Amino acid sequence: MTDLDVEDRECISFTVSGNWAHFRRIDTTNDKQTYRVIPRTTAAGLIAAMLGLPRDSYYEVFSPENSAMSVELLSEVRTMQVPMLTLPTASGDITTAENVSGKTVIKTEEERKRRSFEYIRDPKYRIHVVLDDDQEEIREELKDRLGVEDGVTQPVYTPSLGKTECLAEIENPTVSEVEPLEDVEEIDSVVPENKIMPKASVSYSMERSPGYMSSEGRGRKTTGFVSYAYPKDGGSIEVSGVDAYLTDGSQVCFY
Amino acid sequence: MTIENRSEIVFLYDAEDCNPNGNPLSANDKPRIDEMTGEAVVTDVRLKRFIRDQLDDDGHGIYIRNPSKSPGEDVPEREGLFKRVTDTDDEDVEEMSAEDAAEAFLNNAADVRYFGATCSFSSDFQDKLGDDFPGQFIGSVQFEHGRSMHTVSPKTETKQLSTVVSTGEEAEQGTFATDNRLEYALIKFHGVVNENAAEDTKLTSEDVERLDSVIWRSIANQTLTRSKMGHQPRLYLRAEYETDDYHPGRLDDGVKRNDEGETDGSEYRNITDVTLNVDDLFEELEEDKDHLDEVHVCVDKYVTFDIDGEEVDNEGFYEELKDTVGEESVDIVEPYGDS
Repeated sequence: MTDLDVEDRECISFTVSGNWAHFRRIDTTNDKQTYRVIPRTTAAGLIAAMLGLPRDSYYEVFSPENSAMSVELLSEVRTMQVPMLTLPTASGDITTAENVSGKTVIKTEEERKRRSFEYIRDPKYRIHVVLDDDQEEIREELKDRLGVEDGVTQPVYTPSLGKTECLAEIENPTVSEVEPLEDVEEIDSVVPENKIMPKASVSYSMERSPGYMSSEGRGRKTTGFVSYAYPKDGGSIEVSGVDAYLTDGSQVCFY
Repeated sequence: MTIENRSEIVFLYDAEDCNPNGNPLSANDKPRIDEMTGEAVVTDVRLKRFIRDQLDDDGHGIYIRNPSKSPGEDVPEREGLFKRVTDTDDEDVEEMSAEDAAEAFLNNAADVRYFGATCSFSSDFQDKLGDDFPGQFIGSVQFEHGRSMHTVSPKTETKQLSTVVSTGEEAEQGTFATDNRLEYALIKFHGVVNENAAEDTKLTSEDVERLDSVIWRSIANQTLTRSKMGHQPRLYLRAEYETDDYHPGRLDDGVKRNDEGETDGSEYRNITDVTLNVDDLFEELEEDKDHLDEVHVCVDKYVTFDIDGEEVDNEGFYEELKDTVGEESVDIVEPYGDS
């Protein structure tokens, strides 16, 4: 969870939507299933791509000390299976290339397998980002790239939702100040598990996805996961007694 | 020189009495259909296969060749693919620097310049290439999965096929299959050409110009097999922007059916049954006029448009486009010119 005190800080918000999304669940093997809510690490990657930052170069910016994020699900979750031919990933079929970190070797081209990818159809998320004071350069660049001032969005790399074929549209960027809220009964964003108290006759959809990363040698590793409840229909979640904030007109939880 | 401008692509083609993209996990390769909306779905991979095959036929080197276009036993490993496309042997590769190897690879594999590639070779071969040879090229041209613009109807009369499937030279086994087709599907694709990613894959402006005709011709020429017979390219539009790092992001949304809301389109059987409303597309292009460099466009003469409440054909579409963005900013692509 984030260590950043978000109160009174500047928050940059934008909406990202598309026809398709795929956020590969790391806990399944054959079927490539997807998380329902864009994982925090993927949102960080999306922002980094808009800024043109290279792979493995931005994890510190989005660390728990430097950043807080909140994601609102604005669309109803609907998925579709799209089978494709892929090269195998069963043990024995692939090996790690010696002395080359992060690179795998597949023995033959003949070993193609039919695999089913689960895609989200017509996804739409609102992402709120708070960055620490010493990340000012990044914040200014992000506002510029999003077109907060002039309304012209200018991402360096093509924004996508999880996979390159899931092209994304970036809309409605805003900057607002984060205000604390008291006694909220509904949250518009996803709610971290440790903040939610089960209520009678209210059901929650839950998932756990990667939250934080760090670079490791020539690759990267996940350093923290976030478990959260999300509104499956894209609405809000009934809660009681959570740390909530008002930003950009939404009642949200940061993580 | 790699490209300087970003482009956004809208591409429509249709499939009549055929199977635009079979689902390999279904019985008898049924067309992919979204059960909720009844729309047909065509993966980006399917479209890229058409394009790769056309590049191959046009005499350009490609990395990911079509197994069905090469003899059954000629299925090389990845290093073999690399050596074949660059026309090198182990010794050549060893002598080359990693940078030269990457350049040779990109120069000789047109599909990698467009769509990227994952290059995971054996550690031996990786050593020969040198550690700096990139493991992954991220494509500068990205397409979404395509969807039909309407609910599709599977053909009710299906055909039983008896086939002999050869699984090797000796093993031969007959089987029965059902031929699954759709009555009609008008499929819309959306893509982006990214000039920053082009630096990594060395995509040139010549490549992008070629894309304008290759896509069109690939749908016409690479669909001459039994299950794909009946494809026609209908509309291609590539908006090229001069403003750095700019593209509107949802240009495809501007092309709609004129009768949306009145019918789900499941009764469509032919392109003449559809009228396309492009008012929103022209509105978007008008708004983006200051960012635009040129609009490269090709429209089939059988398509009917509704523009400002008036029905026009492809000539009317071109005229309206010229009025909207300026005559000098419209480039009508001739797909059967120089390839």
